[in-house]
Amino acid sequence: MNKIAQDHKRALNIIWNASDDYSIEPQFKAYDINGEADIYWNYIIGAVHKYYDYTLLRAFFNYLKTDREHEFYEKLFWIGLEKCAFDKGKNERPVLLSLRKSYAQKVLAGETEVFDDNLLNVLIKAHFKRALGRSPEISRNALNILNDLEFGDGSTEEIISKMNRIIKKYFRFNYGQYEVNAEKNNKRVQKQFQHSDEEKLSDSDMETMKDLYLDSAETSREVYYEELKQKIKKPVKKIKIEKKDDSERLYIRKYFGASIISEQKTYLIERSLCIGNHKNTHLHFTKGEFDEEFINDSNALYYNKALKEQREINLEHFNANYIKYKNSILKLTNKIRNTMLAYFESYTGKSEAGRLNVRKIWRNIYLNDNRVFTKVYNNDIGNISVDILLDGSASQHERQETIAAEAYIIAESFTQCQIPVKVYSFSSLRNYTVINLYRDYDEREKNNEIFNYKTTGCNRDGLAIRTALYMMEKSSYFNKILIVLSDCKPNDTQCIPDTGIKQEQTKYAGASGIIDTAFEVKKGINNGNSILCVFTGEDEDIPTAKKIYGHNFARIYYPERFAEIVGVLMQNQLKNL
Amino acid sequence: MLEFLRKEGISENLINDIEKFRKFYKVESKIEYRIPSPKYNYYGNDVWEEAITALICGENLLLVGSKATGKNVLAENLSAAFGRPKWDISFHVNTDSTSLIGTDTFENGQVVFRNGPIYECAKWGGFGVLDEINMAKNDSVAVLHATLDYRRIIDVPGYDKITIDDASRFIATMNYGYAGTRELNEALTSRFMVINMPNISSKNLKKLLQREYPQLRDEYVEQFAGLFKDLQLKSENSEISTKSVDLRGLLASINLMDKGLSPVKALQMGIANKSFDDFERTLVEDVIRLRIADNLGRNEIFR
Repeated sequence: MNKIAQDHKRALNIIWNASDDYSIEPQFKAYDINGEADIYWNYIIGAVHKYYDYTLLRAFFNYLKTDREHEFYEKLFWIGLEKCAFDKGKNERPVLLSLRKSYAQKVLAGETEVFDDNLLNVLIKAHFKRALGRSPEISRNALNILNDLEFGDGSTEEIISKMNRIIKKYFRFNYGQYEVNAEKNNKRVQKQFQHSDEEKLSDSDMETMKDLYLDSAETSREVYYEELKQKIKKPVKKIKIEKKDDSERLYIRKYFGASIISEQKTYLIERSLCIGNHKNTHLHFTKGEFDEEFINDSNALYYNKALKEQREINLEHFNANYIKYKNSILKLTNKIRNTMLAYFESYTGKSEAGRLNVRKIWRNIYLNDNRVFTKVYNNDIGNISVDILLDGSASQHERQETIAAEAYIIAESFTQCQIPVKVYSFSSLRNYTVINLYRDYDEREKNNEIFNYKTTGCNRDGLAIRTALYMMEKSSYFNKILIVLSDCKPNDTQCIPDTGIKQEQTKYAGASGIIDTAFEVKKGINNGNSILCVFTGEDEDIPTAKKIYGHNFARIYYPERFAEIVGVLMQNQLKNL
Repeated sequence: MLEFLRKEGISENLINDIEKFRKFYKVESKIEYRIPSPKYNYYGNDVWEEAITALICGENLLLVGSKATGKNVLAENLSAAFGRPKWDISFHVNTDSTSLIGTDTFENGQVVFRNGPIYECAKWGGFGVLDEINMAKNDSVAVLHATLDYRRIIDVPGYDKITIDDASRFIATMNYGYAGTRELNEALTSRFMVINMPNISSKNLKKLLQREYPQLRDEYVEQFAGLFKDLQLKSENSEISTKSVDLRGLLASINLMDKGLSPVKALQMGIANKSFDDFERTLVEDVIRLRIADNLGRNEIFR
């Protein structure tokens, strides 16, 4: 946790402690001039939540925001609230007397924040002078304000109305001014943008925009074809001459990034995996790295940009919920670590060989018991590896940030327990299933790459799981766990070959997709792997998840309980290894 | 002990039952020394009544609760109230049947059986406290199944089968979710009546503080109880671990304050420093600072 996040969390903790309510998300937090959480002011903020109706106060603070000078009025209001909260809290916590005193001394010594507005500085100083039992020594007008800020023992409504009176009496509170200005500015800005947009949008950009539209839904294959026809009309004539397979592979490379293995090798893997229900499909392994070959291709550039934008969104979401997610990592790590500790430690026992236990020799002589040695039994489960497979299809579009964060939590927790993790996502476009690798077992520092997660296209779950198991088989670890984050909705426009008469029945979706996926999962389990699912979809698909993964799936109803639920799932799995 | 129960307002019927129990089951004088005289009393009438009723009906007890909920204090109080000798058996990962039931040994040229604590407890009609029962491996405690259920026997292969004394009871304690603990298997759990030990209430904590430190000023009885509550709440909300929610640590700190150490330093040693994570320690220190002033002296706390 960096320093800023720590101070943020510390401020929150003081506020929660003071308010006795850990569910609040305070509007204000207080830091001293070094940026550290200020204990006294954060206590006051928490105490205000405890003793007053903060819904009303929040509405009032929002009302203050309609003025450009809202910070001034907020600070002013807090001076009044400070005294109220202090008076209410001092009997419950006698320590407040000394905390307030030392804060007041700091104010007078100039060790606290100095504001642009001089009146505010004067009032704060005078207020805390009074707190120290000294005379405020300020002008009559300022003294009147200060006296009015002593709200006394009133209810929330009374306090708000008193503050309102102060604002009206002493200041010109420009209600609505802020809004009007904001709107004006906004309009101006919008106009500017509109203008620049009109100027810049070229034909090729239009095309890319259309192409990008693919992201948002699992479009049918027919649509892709139409798009393709339009697109390769002019710019890449060369491709037309090449085989159809190659042109599509090129498209996939453009869309998802360069392949990390040679074409020859991909072909060999396809030969062993793209068979049966997945005949005529292809695989593409990438790390999402931009293929330099397409440096002049606007589509490729645009997609790469969209990828980066999604990374930013994912990261932003994670940082906005930093504390919650960090807590989840902590909890999950502890849970995994505890399971490892409790179940897999070594123990000493009697044995027929090992270290001679002198005290037991008599047993051999008199009882013919040969087990007079002690031996350390290693209850070691052997080394474990964890593969995390993310469903990267467009049906997950709405929750990309959450899935990226959840995958990060799991990966980071295992990493902290020194368990090697490999993370990749899958999605299918045209007849390609793309495996996007974020980090490999030994890349401990690369969990951050998981935020590159971006959804697109369809999902051929069966082939993805088959591929994941194939890769796991190649690794040298003894116990292999595969965790799939999926909405359990196999759906690919590429059909299952040679089944049914009507086109509809042969689609890789619905029952046939589920059966195929369930079959791959069973096969994997029979081969000694552990396969778990963290279900990310809608309630209606839970029966499907059960069909595919049996009991080994977890449904996250409340994100706050993510760590507990996944923890229990992992615990059960680890215990059964 | 019975006086204490009366004072706390435990149902007179239950106390009468305990008295009958004590009258009926005598304790041999040579093991009387094992009957505890508790240093702390357990406060909490609901739990007392549940526990007494279960024991009178011949059931074994499993006390489940987090740290500082008074599991061992209650177990000790119960054996004192029933006037039974107590055997403490601490479970750990290497606990096995020999360390519980006993093992054979060679003495004076002969193979003899050396009784384990469970065996002794069963023989003398004692109360066996199986501390941290979920630290042990489930298969190694399976030897207790026959002891704990209706059979009430210990069958030692190659030696003898003994029947457990009618006055014997077993009280297990466990802290679920502690590092190193595991799930208790169902076969074992089903042999106990389970009491979920609540966190000590503010009222009872104040009572405890007043009883332990009569010279403590009322104002600070409030503050220490409040401090403990604050920490408990923080830990329940997963902001800090349970390491610093340490009642023993708090009591020990007050002891040090009484000897003259500055209150903040004493709480640092007894509570804050229990957490080894720097950031968590800062959070705990903030909680302390919102209760106890830095420059507080002994005389302000004690009368």
